[in-house]
Amino acid sequence: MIRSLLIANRGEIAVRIIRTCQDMGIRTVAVYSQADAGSLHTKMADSAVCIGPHPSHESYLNMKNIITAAYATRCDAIHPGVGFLAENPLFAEEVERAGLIFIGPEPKTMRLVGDKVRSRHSALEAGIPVTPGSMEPVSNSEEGAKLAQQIGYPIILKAAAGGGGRGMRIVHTPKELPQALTIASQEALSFFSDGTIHMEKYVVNPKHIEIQLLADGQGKVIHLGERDCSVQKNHQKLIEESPSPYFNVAMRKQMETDAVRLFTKIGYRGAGTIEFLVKDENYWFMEVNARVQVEHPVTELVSLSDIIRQQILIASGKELNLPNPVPRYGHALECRINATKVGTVTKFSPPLGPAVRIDTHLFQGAKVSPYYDALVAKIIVHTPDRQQSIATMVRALRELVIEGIETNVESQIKILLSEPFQSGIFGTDLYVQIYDDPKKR
Amino acid sequence: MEIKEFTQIITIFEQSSLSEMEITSETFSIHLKKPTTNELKELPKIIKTEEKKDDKPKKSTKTITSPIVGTFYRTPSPDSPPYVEVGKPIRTGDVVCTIEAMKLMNQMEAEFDCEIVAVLADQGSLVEFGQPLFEVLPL
Repeated sequence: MIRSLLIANRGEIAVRIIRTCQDMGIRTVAVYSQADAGSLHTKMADSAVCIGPHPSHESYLNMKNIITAAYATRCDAIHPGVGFLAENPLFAEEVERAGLIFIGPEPKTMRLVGDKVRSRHSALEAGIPVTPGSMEPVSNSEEGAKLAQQIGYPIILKAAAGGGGRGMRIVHTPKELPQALTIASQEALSFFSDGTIHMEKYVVNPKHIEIQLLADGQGKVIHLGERDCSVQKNHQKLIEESPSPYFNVAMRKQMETDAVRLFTKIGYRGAGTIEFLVKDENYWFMEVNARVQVEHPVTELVSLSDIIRQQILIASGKELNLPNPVPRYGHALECRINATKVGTVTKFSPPLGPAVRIDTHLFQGAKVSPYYDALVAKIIVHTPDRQQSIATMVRALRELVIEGIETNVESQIKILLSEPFQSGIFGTDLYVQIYDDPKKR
Repeated sequence: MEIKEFTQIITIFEQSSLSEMEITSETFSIHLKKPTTNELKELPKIIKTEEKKDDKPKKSTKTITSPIVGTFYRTPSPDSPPYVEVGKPIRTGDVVCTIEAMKLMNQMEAEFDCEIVAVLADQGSLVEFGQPLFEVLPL
């Protein structure tokens, strides 16, 4: 069993992981960059080690300093959190080489699912529909033009090694294609050190729905239902919920079965998510996120589970001990609070009361620096149904006080109160719909 | 009664508003007294006179900080003498310590001529990024 754990991350997710460790009696070690000195995760952990200056590549991405810190503080394991090194197979390998446990999938699984082209092949082999597109990398513009003609415009170019909405390009006409290919490839190279591009049909205004899975690596794979993450701005998720308001029962069942089948087939270990695009009566495999996700709390609330705890148990070699299927209750809704202007928090008063959960690293006096992710808090509510969740969320957001920095709270309330969001009938274009339509301003 | 416990008592006393404290038990007895307000006022005067006597302005010291996370060693091997000693001058490029990270020994070199004033990290301890290792006086 893991007795001491280093959290190779910062912000609200580091705080979230430390809390579960405390529940489980596990000693924690936080790491931080000089910009994060005094941050909440460094205060909550049993000890904290400074691993570098503010640039991520010298601190939160500095594998050597992180592993040395874990080793020297006598940790058994490293939890990578979300982002930074979470999906880096090289890091997982280095952690294991140092004799420590990496909390996540095996490095070979991370390599497989991290490659968009290879993971599409795996999905297809597992009998899961994938969006029409290239099954091989697009190597030149003539080949690309031919393929785009076959698929039909609009198409989307994606970095094979990409993720998180980066290095993507939508192409509407053949004329734009050659230049878009060049730019996408350059972007892919600079973001992911790999210029490989592949092409898919661009689905206009789909629903973004993902299935949360847990696998013990010993043959047991279970799902914890879906999350609807269709409310996005520039491919960055803003609001997530479970269950999705838009779904027919048969299709949901089919997607859940497909997701479990894929994870079983690739021998996945740990917590992971399969993202799908959904439009009308169709759904397509998009990608696997081989880690815990920012929006995991909505699933935790409806399934009465603790995904971080399950990750730690699985990494300790324990068999999954959850009912299958996992019963789910009510409706959960999450709003991400992002800083739009950084600074020092002069007042912080989170919403309280029934049905509300807050995951945050803010406190009065906390510094929000411009160097990292803008996410400062997640407000999550859990009620019997969607309508009540929306009402409770609006109440919670109005109760929330954050002074000293600026946030997107008002804009989140506006989305919650908008007619399409309330109706449940909307796709990933919702944000643009609300903010570009002058009638709805 | 261990030294640690004594220091704890002293810290608590220093932070309190008490001016005098006495604890007696079977094994020890401790009597602590703070300087009175009058004594405190006099203190700065003494320092001032000392400063006047000291006509040579002291050069300001610098700190050498750790560029990585690792285990700090003052010696090249467990039974050899330290790389540097307090009070001895060292030249640019001289090795001042090794920091072990992932089984690699990283030798840290002095970036300027200086004299070691104090060693700030303990032999064999974990040092963080940016942690002060030596206080030095540039020459």
